[in-house]
Amino acid sequence: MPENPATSDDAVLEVRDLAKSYPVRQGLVLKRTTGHVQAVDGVSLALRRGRTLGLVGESGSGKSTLARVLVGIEKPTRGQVLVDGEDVSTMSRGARRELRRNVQMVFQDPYTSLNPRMSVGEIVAEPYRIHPDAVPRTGRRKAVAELLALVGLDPDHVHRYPHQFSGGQRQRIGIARALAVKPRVLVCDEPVSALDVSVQGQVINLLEDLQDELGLSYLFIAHDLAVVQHIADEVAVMYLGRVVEEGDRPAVYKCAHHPYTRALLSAVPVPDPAARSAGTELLLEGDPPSPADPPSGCRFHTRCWLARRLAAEQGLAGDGPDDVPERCRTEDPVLVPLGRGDGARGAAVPHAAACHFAHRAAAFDGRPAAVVPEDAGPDVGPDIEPDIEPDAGLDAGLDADFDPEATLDPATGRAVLRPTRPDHVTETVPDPAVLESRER
Amino acid sequence: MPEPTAATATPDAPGTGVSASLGGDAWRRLRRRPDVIVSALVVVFFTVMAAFPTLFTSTDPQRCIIGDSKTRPQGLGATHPLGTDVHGCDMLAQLVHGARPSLLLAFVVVGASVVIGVVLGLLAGYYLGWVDTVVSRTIEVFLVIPLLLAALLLLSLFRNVSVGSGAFDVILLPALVLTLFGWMGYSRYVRASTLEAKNLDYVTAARALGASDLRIMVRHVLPNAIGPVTALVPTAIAGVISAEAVLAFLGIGVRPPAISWGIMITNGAEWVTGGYPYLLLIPLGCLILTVLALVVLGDALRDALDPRLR
Amino acid sequence: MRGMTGMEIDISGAFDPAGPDDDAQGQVPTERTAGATLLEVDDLAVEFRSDDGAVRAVDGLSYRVEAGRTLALVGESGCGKSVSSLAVMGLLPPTARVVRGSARYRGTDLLALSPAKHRAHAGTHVAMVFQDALAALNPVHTVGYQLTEALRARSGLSRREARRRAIELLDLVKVPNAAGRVDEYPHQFSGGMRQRVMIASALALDPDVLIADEPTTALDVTVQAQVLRLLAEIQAERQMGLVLITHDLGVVAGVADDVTVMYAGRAVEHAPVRDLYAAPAHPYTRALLRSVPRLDAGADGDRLPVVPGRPPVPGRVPSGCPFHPRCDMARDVCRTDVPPLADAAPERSSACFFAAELLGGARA
Repeated sequence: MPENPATSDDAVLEVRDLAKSYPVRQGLVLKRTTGHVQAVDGVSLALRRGRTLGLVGESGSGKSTLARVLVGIEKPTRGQVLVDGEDVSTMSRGARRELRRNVQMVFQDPYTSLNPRMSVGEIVAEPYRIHPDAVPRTGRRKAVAELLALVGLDPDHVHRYPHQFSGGQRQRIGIARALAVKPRVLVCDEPVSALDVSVQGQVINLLEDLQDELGLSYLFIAHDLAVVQHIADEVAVMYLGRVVEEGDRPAVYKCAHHPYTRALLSAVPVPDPAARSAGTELLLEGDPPSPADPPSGCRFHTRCWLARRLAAEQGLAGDGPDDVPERCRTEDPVLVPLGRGDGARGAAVPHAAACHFAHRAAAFDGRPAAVVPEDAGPDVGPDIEPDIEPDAGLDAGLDADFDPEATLDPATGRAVLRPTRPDHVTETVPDPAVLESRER
Repeated sequence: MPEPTAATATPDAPGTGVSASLGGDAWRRLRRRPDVIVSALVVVFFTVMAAFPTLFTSTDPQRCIIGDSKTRPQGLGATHPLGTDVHGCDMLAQLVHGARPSLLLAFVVVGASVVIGVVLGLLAGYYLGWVDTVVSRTIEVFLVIPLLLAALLLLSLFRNVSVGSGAFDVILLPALVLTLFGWMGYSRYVRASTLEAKNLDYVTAARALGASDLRIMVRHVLPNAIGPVTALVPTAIAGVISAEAVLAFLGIGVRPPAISWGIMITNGAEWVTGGYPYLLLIPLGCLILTVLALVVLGDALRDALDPRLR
Repeated sequence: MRGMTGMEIDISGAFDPAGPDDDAQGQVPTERTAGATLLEVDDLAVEFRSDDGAVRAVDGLSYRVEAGRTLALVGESGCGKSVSSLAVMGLLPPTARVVRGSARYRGTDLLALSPAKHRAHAGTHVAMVFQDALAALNPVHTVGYQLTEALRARSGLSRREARRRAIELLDLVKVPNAAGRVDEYPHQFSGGMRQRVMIASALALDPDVLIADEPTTALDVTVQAQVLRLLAEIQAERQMGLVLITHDLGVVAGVADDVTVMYAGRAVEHAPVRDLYAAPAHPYTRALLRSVPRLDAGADGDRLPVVPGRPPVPGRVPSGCPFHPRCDMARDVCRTDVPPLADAAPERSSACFFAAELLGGARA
């Protein structure tokens, strides 16, 4: 939690109503545009100085496209990208290039993101060749050595080639390259998902150290919600090109209001066999629909567990894809702040969700899973209390002293079944400091 | 998570891998391979032969005595060490003097084709859109026009144009024709591997840094897309040398009185079954030797320039 | 079409999967009683040829797969978990060879068979699902064709019969509208659906053992949950033995019965899943467990616990205990002697000299 509530002046990188669509072309010789894939459709986000915004969603949610627009690889079809409050699209080419230096990217795959024919020194120094005024020619060798040391690599290894390094080390090289032109924002696109588990932590910790040291802001894109929880200050959840929920990390993780966020959280495997409870996850059916042809109304309604249960409550069958409340099928929900007085509670980002029935999610999901099985049929209807105080869960989530044991833990939907779990693992560890020493 | 097999496992011994430069490493690696050294010697030998034919023979290849026709090889020191052909011309002299037009033609044609093909393929694959449409359609047009038909056309165009008799002048026409019809393969290969390479993350990374298109193409795409071309070059050289012989029949090959390996091979082929196989085997052997040497060199060069194989 | 989802498919009744396979052992029992040992790998060692000589990728691995149980092989990249299963299947690349050990499927040592017989035998009774479903499916054939390729080759099924079987298989793995999708091509399927198709094709011959090599690593968490549940359901229904190869301890906790943790080509710990998570008996297991980011852990700005260093590359494994350079308990003996995999407690074993200490510390 920040000491001072952030204002939007604080935003180092901001997007407003951003959209990116790709034409779908058909035909061999004469290509006709037959439709558009709306990869990103009206996204507004603000990344604050020195903070980390976690962006989560399934593949096809548009999070990677958003990243590519932010670093300038793709041009937006609509909307604005603001760096330091200045609209990038209205700038001259030269000014845009300068500004773009401020936003650099760290890639997912450390095996394809480094040119195999360039030495580490050449890779890390390449930004200087592209932006010759960043560091004077004579100082570059030293700058490269410093960068390598900064990310925890041996500066003597400048003549080696990428294939001589392990995945974690390569990711460090990629980070060094991104840092070369002294950016203020790093867009990290799944930076650890291709790494070994034991190495992921090293890279996450490095990113956190660099943030403290250099005052960087991160847009941290990941599908692994557990990783995002470790590094993010604020979280935005994307589905089919839209932000469906956003807020401060504790609000989103402890008190998610969008059924999609809850399903995502529920799907994260818990590394604890004692927590195994067959069939209690909010299992989403099928894959996300194609962004070329998004569903009508709420884009999530075809897979929404909440809509099904509400439909069941209303006496509809509740198992077909169309058995959802009328409103979900016809009306596109907008991202609206939840509850009262969020700003007064010191949240940097007001907790908001794009769901017509956001206040009902906690009520349905928070019940013991044994009562509400995964595929809630009509027979479950009577068990559900329709009159849930809409803001009960929300208030709990935003409370600074929120205690997951005292309330239902809506985050996973399984917590209620879990006994208070003694964490054997941490108990047996003699000295955490020993394990924290960095990879050379 | 992909599990690297031991075959791709990489030694990572601290302190050993301080390599000087890509070029220096490549040279050190090449020297350790005997097949590479032998191949290099073969190429040097024929290059010297092409440059200084008088070092190898003092006989004039044009001085043919019909009475000595089809003399079998007589061995070193004799008047005709490799025998004579149907017209009684000295084989050794022909072979030596034929090296220059043949090799020069091959290198000029392949060199020009590679440059044209690589540039067009790179542009087409990188920019796609109308550039790609133009390049791809052009490739198809050139692929469907038969080489001989085009050669005949050019022949009639240039029949009365007098070209000189210098080393380049004698190969000008065949070089033009063969280059015009020789670049498409490289273009297609480079276009395909450019399409693949340009979507790799390190190309995206360069773009995110704000690198210019030229820089991305030259530094990132091309080095990783040129591989298939190096494999094509040695065989293309052989192809050019033999295609030249075909053109010679039409009168737009190497112009007489200049001689070439291609012409020797074509002429010699008639006598293989007649009991004079050496007329074919000697020039053909030289051609095969050159091509094999180039194959080995090309292979070694590609390996040496790839840091992953070190 | 949804109505067919619950249909019972009796493949084993239609033909005998062991029928066309004439091995010396004679008839192979097809019934599976829970707990019966199906596949037993003993002291397996696999070497790769390389410029620097032979490289040991798997060194003395043993495990047992029982009917109706799930064994998880857990480890990081390069630990040999995938190579060991390729060896069992007879699918090792030409640069690799088995130098030692046996893999007994219902008593038949697969590794002692000729390569062709090995593949045929393993291919019938032991099926494998790979991580990259797109690469494992042939893009030019329809899904239905590929699903029944093995069936038709072995039992001479008619085209119509094969198509019907393919639809049944797709229904079995809960591909919606199976009858409509059976004639589509792999690229028309999403990642999760392709993985379902892979599982269906693995089930086509009703195998006794299913080896799933990182089956959900390329998938989204939501889809991963679906696929894992599907695997668990099918396994329970058919009493198959399931080998789950993964690096993800979260996944393991959700589905495995027993866990074998691998490091640098060796098994370093073997235990029932609850025991392992409650109290790891090897420092590597403990370190792995600690470094898994957890949703339920308090995450307010604390640093992730990390294991220093990185997994060793095959061929450059440290002397003594391979984990000692990264181990916070390492003592002199760890640098010189290789700890054997020894019993540490009932039903569990550990390759650490100080396993008893670790377990004792946990109880205290």
